[in-house]
Amino acid sequence: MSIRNLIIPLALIIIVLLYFLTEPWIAMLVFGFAVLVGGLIWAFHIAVKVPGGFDERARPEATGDSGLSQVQRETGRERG
Amino acid sequence: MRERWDSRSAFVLAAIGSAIGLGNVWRFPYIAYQNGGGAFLIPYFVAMITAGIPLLILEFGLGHKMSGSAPFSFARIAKRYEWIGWFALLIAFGIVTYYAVIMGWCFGYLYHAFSLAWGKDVSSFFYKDFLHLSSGIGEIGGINPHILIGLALTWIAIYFCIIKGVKSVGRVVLITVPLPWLCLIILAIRGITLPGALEGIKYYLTPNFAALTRPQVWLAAYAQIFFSLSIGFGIMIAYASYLPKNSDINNNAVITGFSNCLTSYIAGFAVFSSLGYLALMTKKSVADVAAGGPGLAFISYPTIINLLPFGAAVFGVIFFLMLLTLGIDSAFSLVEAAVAGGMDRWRISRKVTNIAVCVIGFLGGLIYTTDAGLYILDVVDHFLSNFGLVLVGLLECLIIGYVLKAKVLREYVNSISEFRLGPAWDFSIRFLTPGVLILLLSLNLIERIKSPYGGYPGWIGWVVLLLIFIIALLFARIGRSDVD
Repeated sequence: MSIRNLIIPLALIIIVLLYFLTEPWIAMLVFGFAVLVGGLIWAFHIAVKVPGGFDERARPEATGDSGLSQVQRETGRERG
Repeated sequence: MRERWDSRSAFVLAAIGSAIGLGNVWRFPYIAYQNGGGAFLIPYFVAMITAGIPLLILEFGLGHKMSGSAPFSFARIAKRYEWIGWFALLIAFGIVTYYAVIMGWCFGYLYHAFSLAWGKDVSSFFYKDFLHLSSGIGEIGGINPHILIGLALTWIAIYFCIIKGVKSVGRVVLITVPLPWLCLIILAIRGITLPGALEGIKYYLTPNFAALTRPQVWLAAYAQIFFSLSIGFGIMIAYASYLPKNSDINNNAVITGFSNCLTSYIAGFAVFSSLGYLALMTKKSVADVAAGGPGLAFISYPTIINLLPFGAAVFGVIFFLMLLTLGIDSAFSLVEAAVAGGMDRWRISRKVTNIAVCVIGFLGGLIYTTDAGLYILDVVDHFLSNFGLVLVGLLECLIIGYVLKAKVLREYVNSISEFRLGPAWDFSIRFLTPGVLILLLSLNLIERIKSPYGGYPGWIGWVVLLLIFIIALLFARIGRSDVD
């Protein structure tokens, strides 16, 4: 199991601990930022993996040989 | 040759700018506070992932696949559905006519912020001195020149933002998206460093998990997501139609959805920390001073600004500058959607379409600059948002889900996107989102059958909706486009 796969369970444990050990609103504050900032980091991480990076001007045409399919396979594996 | 975005960043910023608007500041924090505080984040995030982002993907995917505005895209599915696209654009256009007036108020308040002209009695200044509010919707009175000037300035700004289509929009959003974020962060930092701020934030975030057992809370979360992401206006369809062929769809929708929700979340800190300060200074509870909507922007916040220990005028200017820059990209995106529709349908030049749409929009907004403007705005907003917009969203889901087939669009967006969607997306578009929208529509309808909205004559909103429906049908029949 890679460190990346531990991020979500670890974040959840921290939030639950914060809920019981500090005040509930602090746990919700961390929960909100964790989901939203975490989601954005994930999305940008996927975007920069594509050949050409985030900016599509440098990206090859989305044909069978574009490199996109490779990223899709990788992300598919991650989800699986 | 269709216009194209200069870069992916331009498109993403424009989509984020369109989604982020005044509602992120004055609607989300109050809705969250009313529906379980911090616990509301759970249904809100569930709604974002199960309905908000899937709908964004639907609109991006449809616009990109069909390479056209909303009416053109629906017409390419089948000519008899073109009116749905027009209905969406006309709802959007109806909304921008009063949205521009609210921005006109912001222009006025930005000017008044330099001298804190609202004085001690902020409520009286807003309703009597600024709006000249009449005693009821039947007493229209005359046009208020200072609001008219604000409205004219807004439409001039909109015209110049869209003057060269996505080329100029792509440059404008480089300023109008980061600037309100900067203002918001400044206001949040100022807010949380004020005495009493912690109490306000506790009101905002303390979770009431019992609220999650109430279906209304879940419905409020889905409604907030739906109204906040600029879905159902045809904007995202038009914006995506300007994307190059090899553009990502799915990840752009995720970035847009998360950025919009993060902005709302941060806005909650700016708003509730300041309300905590207001509660402390006025020796009331936060619950007594908590407000949403224009009341928050034009009464509560100026009151807070009055009470600031230093730099009141500076923070007043920052606050109204933030509202203006938040609103302008939502406003011009609504107009751009209509311009794209007009250009696709009647093959008119951008210059002529821009001028025509802006002039008609300005004239349409005049009614809201009168003494009864606030009443008319209130009732029209209620009907266009709660019935018109929800109906468009529902029709979009049904047409894509069952006529075009959700799977067809999913396979299309998967073929060009950085990550793949599973069949869960089909479920969201075919069952979950339409189910929630039908529920919203039914509850609103039952409510209106029981009693007219806000005590206003019930026919006003229905007449406006009926007129839009008839015009949509007419537009789908007159003129010609490539689809013909």
